[in-house]
Amino acid sequence: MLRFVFKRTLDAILTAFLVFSFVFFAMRLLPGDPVIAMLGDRASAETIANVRTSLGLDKPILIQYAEFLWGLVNFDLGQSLINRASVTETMMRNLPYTIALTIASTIVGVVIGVPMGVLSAMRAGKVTDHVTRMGSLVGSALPDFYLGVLVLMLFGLTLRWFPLLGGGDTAFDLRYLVMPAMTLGLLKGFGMIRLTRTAVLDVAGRDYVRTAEALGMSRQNVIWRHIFRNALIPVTTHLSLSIIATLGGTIAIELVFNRPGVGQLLVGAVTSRDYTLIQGGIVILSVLVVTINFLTDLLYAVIDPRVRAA
Amino acid sequence: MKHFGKRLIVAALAVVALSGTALAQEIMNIRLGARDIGSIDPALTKTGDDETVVLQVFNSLVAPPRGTLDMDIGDLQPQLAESWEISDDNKVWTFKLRPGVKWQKGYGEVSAEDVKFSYERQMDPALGGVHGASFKDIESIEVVDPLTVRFTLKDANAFFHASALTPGFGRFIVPQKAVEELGEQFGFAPVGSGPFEFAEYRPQDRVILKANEDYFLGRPPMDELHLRYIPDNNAATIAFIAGELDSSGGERTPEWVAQIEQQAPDAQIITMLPGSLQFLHFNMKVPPLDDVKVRQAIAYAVDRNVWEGAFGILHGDLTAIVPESFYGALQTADIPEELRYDYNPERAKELLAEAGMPDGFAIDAIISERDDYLTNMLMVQDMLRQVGIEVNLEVQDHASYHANIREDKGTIVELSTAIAPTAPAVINEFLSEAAAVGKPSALRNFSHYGELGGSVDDLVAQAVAEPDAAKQMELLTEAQLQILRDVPVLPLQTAPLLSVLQGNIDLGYEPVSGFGQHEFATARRVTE
Repeated sequence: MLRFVFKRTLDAILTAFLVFSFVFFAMRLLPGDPVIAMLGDRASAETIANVRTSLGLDKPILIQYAEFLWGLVNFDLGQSLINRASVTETMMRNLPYTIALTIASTIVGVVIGVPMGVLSAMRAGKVTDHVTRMGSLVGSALPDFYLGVLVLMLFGLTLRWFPLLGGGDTAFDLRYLVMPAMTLGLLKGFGMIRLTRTAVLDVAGRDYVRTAEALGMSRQNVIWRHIFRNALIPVTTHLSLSIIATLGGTIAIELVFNRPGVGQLLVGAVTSRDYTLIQGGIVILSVLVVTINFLTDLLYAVIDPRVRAA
Repeated sequence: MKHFGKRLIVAALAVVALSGTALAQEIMNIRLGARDIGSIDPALTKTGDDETVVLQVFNSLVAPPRGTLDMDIGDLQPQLAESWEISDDNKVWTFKLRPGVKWQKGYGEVSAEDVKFSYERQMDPALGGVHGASFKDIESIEVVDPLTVRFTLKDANAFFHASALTPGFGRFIVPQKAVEELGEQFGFAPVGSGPFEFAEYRPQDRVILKANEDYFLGRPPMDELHLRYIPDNNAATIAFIAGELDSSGGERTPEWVAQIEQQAPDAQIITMLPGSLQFLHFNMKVPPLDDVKVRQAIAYAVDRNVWEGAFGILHGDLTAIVPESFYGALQTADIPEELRYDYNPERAKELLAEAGMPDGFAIDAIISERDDYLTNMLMVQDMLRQVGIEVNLEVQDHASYHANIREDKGTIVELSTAIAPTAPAVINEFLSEAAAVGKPSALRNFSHYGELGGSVDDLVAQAVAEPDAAKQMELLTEAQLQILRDVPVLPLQTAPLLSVLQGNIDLGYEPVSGFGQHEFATARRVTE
């Protein structure tokens, strides 16, 4: 197990390093100039040149890369090129909002998706199954921003249950969290239903389940001890992938509900070519993603000891 | 015990009721379209949204009558300055400050030293601000006494008040002590002398300002302003219709106006001229745009009446490069017919034939994907096609487009931009030789006018220095007519700035013209 953990840790560090090196160079290949984006179209060429020098953007790209890596080693992600705020502080202020949304929507997704999926599988071929499958299929085809606007119109504008826009006093302020979490959670739930159903059916058809049933084990016992536990593996994989996707994919939801968060932050940073904020943002996100992947791998290893040997 | 319980309940209810009254704050929710603060240090603002915040927190020396951009020197209103003297040659401007105006948060009183500091700070290129160019003609600033400050200009300038003293574009007075103490933090938590003072900043969410109890023009009726960052137009529109926002900038499309009229019938829709000036700049380095006949042909081929039909109340006429309402502008009625370039495709074809291109020509052009740019350009492209000019457009994201035109990669360059409301400001920024793209002092002269041919630099310089108003106007008229003859740019229209206010908000003045920001110092909620 120790060797497994060590190997996975090395993999994780290498992956993260490759990701942010890629982002560093890719950003600089983009057309557009952060200084012009920052100063607007009214600045004189002189001012533009002065500001470029003061931000160190006139240095050769490899020097800039070396400085970036040196900063990383010192846990210093630099300052935003646009408003000079500390990148770490800005990210740390926005990250909780995205994490809160990720956690809340995952809970909504699991609460809807897993029981409905199990139910659908248990009633395979019957009306409940058909309705659930069709519903989840149509649901997953809905674009996120569209579902977001529907939720906003219904619960915010018509019923007035929740404030329409913003993030609230803290990241976990429920009044502001419910509508975006419901939107994302529903979308996750739709996917989870189909996945759980397939996983349960797949396991239910295995020999050991039939054997257990033939041995006269109670139906409930078979479902919970044999089917459900084994069906958890693909569901867990999906869950971790879905958490990762949510971390980077909250953009539309954050925009619709005007919720602060990493998605909005990065969209703004790309539009204004705020190199340092994008780099810093990606560094923090990739560290998070790599960590989640790492933890998922460990979790597999616990659930299914065969993984350790692989 | 029973009685005691009852009393306790009554007392509790009374406390709740009283505290309810005490807590009934008048809060105004104002939408800003940006994603977040850039800087709300007046010297470092770069966007209209940052300026909106700054306008509530700071004061200038003088201001035009509220809600207007009237720069007539006789109409100037006192702000921090209570009186002023201008030397006969317009070179020395002396201001007497109002006594006893307090800085917020206990930073003492507004002094002549603060005025000197505020301007000199912006003139320092190391600061990284973009407003410095407006103050270039200042030779020296002298503190005469604690409440008197004197500006001496390098050359006479009858427009100095319009280019350097009235609100907007960084022309606000800041407290030296606070700026020095707070450092970079001043850009996120500023201290001013204005009607509202900074209370809180929630990144990407809002800036909260609260009423300045000691404001020298009287405490504002609103207790708090919540300036909320909402970049998405749909989200802002829904929130406005639901009443969660009291004021919002609008999407500049006729469809949006119709939607508000239908779904929020009480709302006040406000258009403010001049808004953004929209020009086509012809890069005179690029053939065949170097030929004046070709530029004139394009001017004749573009039917500028179309814009009014397409944009409705979101349109303002722009016959010459300076909008009629600006100080020093040439009035449309005074433009000779042959320089009005009224739509005439036949004349366009004749001119093209005279230029040796009877079948027209094709040209590549880049354009921003932003609506206000792309829509106009597609209309121009279609009209030019009718006379045989094929414009091959490459659509780019806004940041790339601006970077590219600054590198002189544009041919027919479109710009949509707000600018200080005087004729010299417009001409100098877009057509002076020094402003030509590629020069160290480059601003937005994308046509290279004055550098490659034609120049009105001397006429404008003479006009700015001229103390006699009539002669000044004569010189500016000649400059603007010369520009119409040379056609380095083709004015298309002005796009007024659009905002909506809930029906129950009374700003306390009528906004007629401006740069899109409202002052909320006298705004109040009218009880229905």
